Amino acid sequence: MLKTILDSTGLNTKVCADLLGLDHKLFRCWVEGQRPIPGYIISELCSVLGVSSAAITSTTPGGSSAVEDAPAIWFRFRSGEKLTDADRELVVVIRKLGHHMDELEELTGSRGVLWSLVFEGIRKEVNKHASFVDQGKAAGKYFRQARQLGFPMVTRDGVKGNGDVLRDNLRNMGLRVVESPMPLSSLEGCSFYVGSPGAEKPCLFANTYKQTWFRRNMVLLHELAHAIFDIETTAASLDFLGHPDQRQIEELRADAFAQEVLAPQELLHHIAETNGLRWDRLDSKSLALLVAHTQVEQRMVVKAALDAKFITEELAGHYRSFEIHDDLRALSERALSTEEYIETKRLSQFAVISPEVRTTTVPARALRLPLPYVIKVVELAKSNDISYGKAAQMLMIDKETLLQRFGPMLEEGMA
Amino acid sequence: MSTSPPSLPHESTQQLPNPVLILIDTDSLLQVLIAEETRLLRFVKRTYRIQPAITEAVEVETRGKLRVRARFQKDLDKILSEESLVVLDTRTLPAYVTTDAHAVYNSMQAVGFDYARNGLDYGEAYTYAAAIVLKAPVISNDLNAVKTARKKALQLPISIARTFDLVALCHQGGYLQERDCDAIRQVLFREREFLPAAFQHSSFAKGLDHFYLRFVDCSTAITGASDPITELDVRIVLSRSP
Repeated sequence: MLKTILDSTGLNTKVCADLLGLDHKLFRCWVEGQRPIPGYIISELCSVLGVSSAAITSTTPGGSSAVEDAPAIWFRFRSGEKLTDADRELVVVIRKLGHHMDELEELTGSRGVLWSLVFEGIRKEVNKHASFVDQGKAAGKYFRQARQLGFPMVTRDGVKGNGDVLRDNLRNMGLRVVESPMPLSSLEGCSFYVGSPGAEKPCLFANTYKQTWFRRNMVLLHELAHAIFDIETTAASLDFLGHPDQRQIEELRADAFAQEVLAPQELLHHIAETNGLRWDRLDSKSLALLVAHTQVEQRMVVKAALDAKFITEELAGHYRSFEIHDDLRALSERALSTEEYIETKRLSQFAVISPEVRTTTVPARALRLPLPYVIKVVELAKSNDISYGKAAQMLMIDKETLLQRFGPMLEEGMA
Repeated sequence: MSTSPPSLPHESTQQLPNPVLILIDTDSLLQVLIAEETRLLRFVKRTYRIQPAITEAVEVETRGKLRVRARFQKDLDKILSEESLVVLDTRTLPAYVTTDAHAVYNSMQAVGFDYARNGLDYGEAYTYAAAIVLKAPVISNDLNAVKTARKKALQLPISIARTFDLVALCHQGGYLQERDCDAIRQVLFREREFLPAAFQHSSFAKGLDHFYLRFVDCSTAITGASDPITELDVRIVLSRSP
């Protein structure tokens, strides 16, 4: 049955073994039923492939009906001209990460389930007969209120806004949030369920390759909207770089949701008022200030101002043409690359925040792990709540790499 | 090198029938393969009738780590095919237990699942589980896993020895010369593998005085430190098979 399930993923046995960090020959023996699949790994395979343990261990020869019964997510990632092998492989690795995140929650006794209540509340709140844009706005308003997103604050470390708290806020609800560079993929973002069958959680993914943090704030909330409204029926939502299909009503709703959460009318008004900005006389510096405070990209700020009728269509076109990058870098550390940020803050290149330190090495397709996840795993290893071997497993690196990367933080523990 | 009479059992010495199995963890198995010393396993099996074994999780981890080292894969295949090492699974277990092998396997799985859920990696968790259920000693270099198991109040195997306990046993049993043992030490040092403190900066001969053997052969003079150095220094006295 494992063979049938793998067929449905569109991944061959060798690639799948590489993604899971397994020996090809051994994995092929399991797939072909020549050797029993070890009990310990079945739950991980279930989480990654999205099937029950009975399906994996079944010895019934799989026919076409078995493929039809395979998880819908793999069909979503098999079809479509824009999808590449890299996309399918990414899903395998993210789902493996989802399994380890479940393990982490179990170890720390902090299983977040609030997301389902919030999603339910939003679905009840939204009038299904309203336009999709209005549905997105209503959902966004509800979400802002439910998650207590407010106005930006100027602190000693600079402006702190919703973008700064967004990821933690989503994770505290129990959602999985993953941002990683995918140079070979044309996906900008996607959302799908991860976790063991029966205990799945939505995962929001944003491709960081050549994307700004400001843009990704929008991408994550766009994917959140899909997670709320769409992925229960479509298994996965896929958004590609460059050409958003605005004919699709789900996309309009997701865009409206993201804009309402990140750049609602009252927030723009508040920023303009507190900073003495005049909407009809914005220059690149003041537009950069609006971007720095809303923490969304220039395009969305201008669109939100236009939708709020603060500016005319003509001004919107003018403001879209402003080059704000240099002004933005002066106003927000978020405009710096991670490498520049580490240099500015004079952090060690081995600081956990460094992309290299957070990148997996065991799966053939590298994934950049979320910072809070890495920190938590290393903390648990340091306090001996998990062994170094377990920490390495959860970070999808080998133990030697764990000690190289985090050695100074971990006490040497060999007999 | 210090020696002491074999008939002086220390309070931390266990004089029991030889265990049927000895469980090897991933790190230690890798060391045996890297040092190209699979003969250690053959010696233990032939001389003491103790079957070196690994769990399925250790096989998966080891093969995963050896993906880019084909030479060691072949060595692993060889010792498995000649049964100098066995993978404990539903097919092999009946040869080593006197009760219902299926029930024993399920018990190992249940304990292993619990240990993995409590913070040990798969190899460690299922090796400890098998060792506890089968009352077998473990060869593992990883004290860190022991610390985690202790913190979580998990039962530990009857004995946790190091790869070098096998080396030292082979030396004490007359199978390896000092120079053989030192060659192993040098290979592992070069490969940046774990070495017990006694051998990190000393030759095998010099370091042996500060190394408490956790496996000893009762038929020859005991070598190494005469008193336990750490709390894991629990000695198992092995008798040669007729």
